[in-house]
Formats: sequence, C-alpha cells, structure tokens
Amino acid sequence: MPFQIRMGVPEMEAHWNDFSTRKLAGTLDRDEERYFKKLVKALGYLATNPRHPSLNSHEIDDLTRKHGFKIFQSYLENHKPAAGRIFWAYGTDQGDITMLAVEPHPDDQKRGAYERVALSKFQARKTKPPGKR
Amino acid sequence: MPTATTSRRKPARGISVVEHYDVAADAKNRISLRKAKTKYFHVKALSNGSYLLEPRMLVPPQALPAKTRKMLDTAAANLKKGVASAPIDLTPFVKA
Repeated sequence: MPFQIRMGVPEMEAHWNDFSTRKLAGTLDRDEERYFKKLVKALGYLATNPRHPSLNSHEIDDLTRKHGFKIFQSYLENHKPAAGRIFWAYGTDQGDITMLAVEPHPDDQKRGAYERVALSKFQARKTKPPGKR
Repeated sequence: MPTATTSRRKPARGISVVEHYDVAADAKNRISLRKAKTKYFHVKALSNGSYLLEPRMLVPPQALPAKTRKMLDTAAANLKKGVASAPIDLTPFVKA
C-alpha cells in the first residue's frame, strides 16, 4: 500500500518548499543537489515501503516515549559514518507518513555559514598619516 | 594490646550500604558483582589495595543536536494536533 508523504510544520514544510522550488528552477548547488537526490530517493522508498532494507527504519524508543506516538528513524545513505537521517511518524490520517525532522539540520549545512560568523570586536587599526614617524 | 583505629566516617547523605559480602577472585583475577544495577563501571584501583567502582552510563552516539530536536518537537506537537502539510508530489523529481 503506497503512503502519502506529508511534511511536518513549520520547518520541514519550509525546507521542502525551498529545496523543491529551487530544484525545479535549477538553482541548487552541487552539494544541495546531491542531498536532495538522496532525500527524494528515501522519500520514494518510504512512500512505497517504509520497511525498505536500504532505509534501515527503526523506532526510536526515547522519542516515542516522549511524544506518545511511534517515531521512526531512517537513513538517507548507507555505509557512511555521518549518514543523514530522517525522522518520521505515521499520520495524520491512515496511509499518511509525516516527516518530522532531518539530520543534519538544513541550517547546519555549509550554505550561508560564513554569513552567520560574527565579526570580532577588535577595533579597526588606525593608520598613521603619511609623513609622520 | 592497643589497636589503632580510625574514627568511623559518617556515610554521605543519601548513600547507604545495601549489601556487603566477601568475594574471592577466580583464576583470572575476576570477581562478580551481585545484583549490579548498571552494566558499566569506572574502576579506580587505590594504592591501599582497595577498588572503587562508580556506575557509568553510555552516552547515545545518535544524540540529536539541539536544532534538530527543536524541529522534531515542534513538528511532533503539530502532528499530535493533526496539523501537517499537504501531501507532497515526488513525481517531478523521480527519474522515469
């Protein structure tokens, strides 16, 4: 039975909208392209068979206990030490799967990382006027 | 004959002896702990021949970073209320 994939609100939905529109516009960079390809592939497997072997889906007991419904984790890639992960749950309706989070977080990617680096508090160095020693 | 004794140390607050027993190390110098509550211990071998065992917990390697945890918590809270996005369409991104 195929499942319908929904995105959790607000962050996952915004993340998906951002990437899908930029993919269609062809403005994803190389790393983003690679990540999006993996995400779409994983979501495709999830829609057809959430227990697909390459997803390695398994329930995370701590999260299930915390939220009161079953939360699963699947992998975006295999045989990698820092493999991307997706967190999902069944719902909102029967035959639906809702993506709750993705790891690494989209903001943790290199994109725009330099813009977020705070500048140091050092004062600008005064330059001596020419001719003075 | 006088015997040197040390004053009995007061037990630390909240900690009490629940069991004491003698054990013999086996041929491979191993001893068994009875009714141990945890699986892992940090062992300190003291210069006077005593051993101090402190329970240790393993930190889960898959612990979630704060940002991802926040993302998941918000989405899970909304899902509980029945709020999620409309179903997404993967067909434009799947190669035929």
